[in-house]
Amino acid sequence: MYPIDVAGLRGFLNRRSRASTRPVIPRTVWLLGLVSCFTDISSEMISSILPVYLFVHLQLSAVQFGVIDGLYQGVTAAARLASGVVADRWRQYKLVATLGYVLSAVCKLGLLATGSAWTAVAAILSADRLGKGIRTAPRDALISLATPPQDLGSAFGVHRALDTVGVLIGPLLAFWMLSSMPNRFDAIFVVSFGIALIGIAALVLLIDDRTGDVSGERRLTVDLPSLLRNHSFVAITTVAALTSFVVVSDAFLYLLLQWKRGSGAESIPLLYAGTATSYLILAAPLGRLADRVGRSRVFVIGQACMVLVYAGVAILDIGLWTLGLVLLLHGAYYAATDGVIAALVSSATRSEVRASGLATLNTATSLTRLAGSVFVGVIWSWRGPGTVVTIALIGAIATMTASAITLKGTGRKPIEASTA
Amino acid sequence: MSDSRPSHARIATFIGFVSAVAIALAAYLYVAIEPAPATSNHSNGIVDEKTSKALTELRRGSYVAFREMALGATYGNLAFASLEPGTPRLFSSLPCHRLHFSDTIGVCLAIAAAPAGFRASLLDEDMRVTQTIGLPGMPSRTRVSRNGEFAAYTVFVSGDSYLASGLSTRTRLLKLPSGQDVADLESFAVLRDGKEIYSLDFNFWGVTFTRDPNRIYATLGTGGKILLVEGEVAERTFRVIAEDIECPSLSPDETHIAFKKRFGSGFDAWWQPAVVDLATMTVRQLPESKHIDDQIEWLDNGHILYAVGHSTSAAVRRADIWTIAIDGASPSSIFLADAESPAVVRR
Repeated sequence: MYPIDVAGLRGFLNRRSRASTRPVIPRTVWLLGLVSCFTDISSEMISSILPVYLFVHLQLSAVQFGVIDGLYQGVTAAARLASGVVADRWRQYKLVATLGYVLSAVCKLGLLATGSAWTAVAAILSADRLGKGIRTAPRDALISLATPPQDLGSAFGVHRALDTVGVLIGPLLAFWMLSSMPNRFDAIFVVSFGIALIGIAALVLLIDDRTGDVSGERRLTVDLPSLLRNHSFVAITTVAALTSFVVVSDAFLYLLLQWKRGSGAESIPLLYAGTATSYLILAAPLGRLADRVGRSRVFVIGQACMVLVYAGVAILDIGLWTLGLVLLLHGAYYAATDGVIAALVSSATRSEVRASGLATLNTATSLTRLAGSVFVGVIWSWRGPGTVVTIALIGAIATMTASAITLKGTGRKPIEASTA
Repeated sequence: MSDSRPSHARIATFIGFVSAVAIALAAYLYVAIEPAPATSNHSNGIVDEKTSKALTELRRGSYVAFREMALGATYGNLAFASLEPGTPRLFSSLPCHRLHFSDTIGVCLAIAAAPAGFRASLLDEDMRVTQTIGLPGMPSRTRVSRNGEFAAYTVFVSGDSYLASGLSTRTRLLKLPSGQDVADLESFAVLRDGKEIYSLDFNFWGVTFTRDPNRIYATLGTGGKILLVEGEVAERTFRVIAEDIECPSLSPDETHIAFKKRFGSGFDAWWQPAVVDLATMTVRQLPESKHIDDQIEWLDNGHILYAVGHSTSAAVRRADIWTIAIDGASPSSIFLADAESPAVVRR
């Protein structure tokens, strides 16, 4: 286990009330959080009702559904990488991110216009995900470039918390609309489009992307090889990719919980809401903790939460209270890893390659996540859920140990070079 | 580090834009969405008093319950009509995706407000909702046994992408009218040629009850194969009795099973109605080439009912209920336009 710096933690708690130690959360970060909140309400409205739409409404066959689902999950990897490099090359973080947001918004209207041909629906949903892939890295680069290096964890924490507010509201709004206006998917698409427009307006009108610390000239090249020579960056990305492979997807965890509970009475949306609530509450505090006691430590603590989740699923009878505890820890895992890893990468990369670095991280983790899902799927069909839990537990302990060793010292003090 | 406050002009533009979007959305919803019909004045009721009287009259004879699909205030709601063509429909205020009825009790599967997501409502003889049960997935099929003692429902659970097909089904039996859980079909033992078979990828769907509610038929999907199984609820066992008979529906005289016959494969697969004679197990293809999705219902011993979707826009689903004679001698015709999920109650 990675020892927690008790003195540091106590010092942090003692000084908490003092204004001088307050993290500086730039206005840009709050506003980007607002943008993400609106965008996630819009996109989660669609993705939460997507299975109902494809299956119950369009009545696609299982095979067609499988193809769309696969495209929806996997299409973004290449776009993520390209958008990061392009954003660095022309220093147009806001512009590239805006293009991503606009593409996704237009797709909401596209869903309205398309006929019921499943191939057209598949194409539009892929374009929607493409938009998400394009916007993520430049947006995270904007957050990191606007924030003092010592407060990156807090800034990403605040952004992820606001983002998760949208994740919580979107499905509630969509299901509320569907239950009060049966089958009016057109209304959901239109409202989703309108909310996406508000997000874009906030981005375009309110956010200033003149990052003062970078010289005004265009860069002719992006020094990608420097990223690969950067040992901290490679170590962080490798650990993050390994973690994404080992940590089973939310859907699988919820299926494991349903399997363990036996009855399957809790619907999966309820479990998603549980995790999201925990993530929402813990994202900012754990981000701040990461700034105080070391980001790699908090990252390892997050992995420990995941170990506890699997141990809980393996050992405990999952009653209502233990279910709540598991979801709390699951949210804590996200809160201690997702924003924190972005902060780690940001502080380990120079600003000229920041978006490319974040994009590489996103691409690596999304690819290993996909591979992990396929792997878990094979194990599940071959040996059953019991084996999945055992393998996940062993994998989580192994990655946690590997991260603790690899990341020792990394990100404990932010690399000052990042501000160039 | 630049973190300049946006100019007042930009903030004003943003607020103006947000207001414009909000007004446009409100106007759209006002114009596009018909108001829901006024809720009834008696508790748990799903029809107003005037409709209630007409419905009592209608239910003295045989009738069909269905999902109304004409665009308007009652779109997607449970509705009733007599079996005689051209008689007026009676609409309820209860949205249902799939529904089924015996003469004493009804089940309606629908989408509910989050976080539960999906629910089954149980209706008593007076068309009042007596129970609401959370469902673990999307509504797919439901059937009520003829004596009203049991109900079965099938839901899709998404996120089970570990399966090659990307989905799995859950089929459960409920005791009525309490709504108590009797069994998950996945807990049944399955015998094929006397030997027990088992695979993790077992999926059950489309239950049909016999007159003896303890004996049921259902579909078992495994390893890309579709099997017709016949089971004893009390003994928790199924026997495999045929292949390629999907989503069975037993005729009132229990001599035939109407089912969905699959054509093509992969992305281009579609399903058409067919009938199997249980005495000889011979399958008869019917002169109907339209694609069907939902379980077939019997109008009488010689005719079946099935819903056919005809959406031209992806956003609004439209469907009609068609009928065809099982002797295959005559072409199909529309039984109820703008309707789906038929449930026939014979008196």
